[in-house]
Amino acid sequence: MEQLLRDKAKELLESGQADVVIGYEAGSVPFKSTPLYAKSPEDAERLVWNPTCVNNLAVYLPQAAKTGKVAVVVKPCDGKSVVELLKEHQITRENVRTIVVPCPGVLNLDALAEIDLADVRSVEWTNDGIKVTTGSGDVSIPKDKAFLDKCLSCTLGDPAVADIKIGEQPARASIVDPKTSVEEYEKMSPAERRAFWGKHFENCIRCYACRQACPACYCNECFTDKLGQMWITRSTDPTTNWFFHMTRAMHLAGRCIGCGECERACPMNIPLSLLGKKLEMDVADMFGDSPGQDPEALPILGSWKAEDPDPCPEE
Amino acid sequence: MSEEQVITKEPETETKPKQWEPRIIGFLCNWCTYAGADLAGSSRLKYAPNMRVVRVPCSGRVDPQFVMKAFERGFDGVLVSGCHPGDCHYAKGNYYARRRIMLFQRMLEYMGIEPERFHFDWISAAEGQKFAEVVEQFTEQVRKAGPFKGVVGTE
Repeated sequence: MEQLLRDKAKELLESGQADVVIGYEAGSVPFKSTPLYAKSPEDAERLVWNPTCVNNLAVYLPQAAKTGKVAVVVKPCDGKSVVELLKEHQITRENVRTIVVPCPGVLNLDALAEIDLADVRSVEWTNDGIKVTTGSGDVSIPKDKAFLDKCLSCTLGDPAVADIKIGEQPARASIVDPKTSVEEYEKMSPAERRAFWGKHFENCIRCYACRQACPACYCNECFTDKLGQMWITRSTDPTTNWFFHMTRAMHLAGRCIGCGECERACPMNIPLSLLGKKLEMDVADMFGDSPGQDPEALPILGSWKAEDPDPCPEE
Repeated sequence: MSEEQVITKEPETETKPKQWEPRIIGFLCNWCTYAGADLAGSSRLKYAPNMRVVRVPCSGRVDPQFVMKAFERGFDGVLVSGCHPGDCHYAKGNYYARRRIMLFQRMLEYMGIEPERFHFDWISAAEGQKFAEVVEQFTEQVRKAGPFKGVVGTE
């Protein structure tokens, strides 16, 4: 699989079909991989594809595809980000090719909590989860523990923009209902919800890792950085943090495809995907649409229908 | 009233226990609801004086951030109102607003902000009566919800 990916990348680079292939390479530790900009066939030899390839590489496209042709390695979920970027005219179809890799699910680092990380040699897929090879023997971890939450409820096939396929997507069945976490959260009363976010936003240091990791957060100047219109203070406190995260959620409404990168990037473990998931559910519920499906479609909040649900319907 | 009288009168009013009054901010579309508010005024209709009005060109101009900012700053309630669907001065601004507001309304509730504190309505320039009723009702609704305790809890 990995060799197939490398060969394909090499071919693209050699033939000039791509100036750069964005993929993953082995990280400095065996349980992490890191994004790679492969610009030559030699670079392409460093490409890897294993359970540690968690990043959504679509985040690099708006910049990278400005000046040249880019091929990007995507998982089916990341592919939806590419669709959204096309929809919003942040990239052009001619400049971007997707290399879709078959994805059984990617690693949730929490799964390695009981393993001595210094001892880890490699992480590989098995039929029902992952195998972690350590200096003191192999450890098998089943799917429901090994993979990220999004993977447990994933039913995606190849994305709408699949130019090059490295093998077939494995058959997938959702193990966990994607609505579960939202429904659990909604059991709380209004006061409890405010306390819940108060606790989490108390921790938020506004490092903006969520924003940086997000493929949909591509504004040249984020509202948080604007000096002319100071929507938000530089200092952090739970109230302004609420303002930041709420604004971000609304900016992503109808655009968030649920890759979960914000939550994964968060150093303070704020459950940010609760916001994106809720919006995705509401958009589907009210407008019968979901982001990341059709690159030709209009953005969901950039379009409307006369029969849309109404907050105060006429009698 | 002479200056002296004013000075002697002031302490009297101050000793009365101050009753909490809801603070409400309203974002009204210039073409419909703002004119509707005008009509309510020129028709001498009486309604609760708790709302401060911000005139916006269109309900489509209402960025959810406006509403968030109001709550962040401690307003007890926020009203947004514009032209009826189909009547927008800019043809479709209120249709965009409608999608955005529908999502935002649910999001506020989701975050634990009581739905009673936010209201969205279509009020045309001819509906002075409706404007007065909506403001009156909304003010009472917010009064019942009580003083706003902030966008996030502390316990």
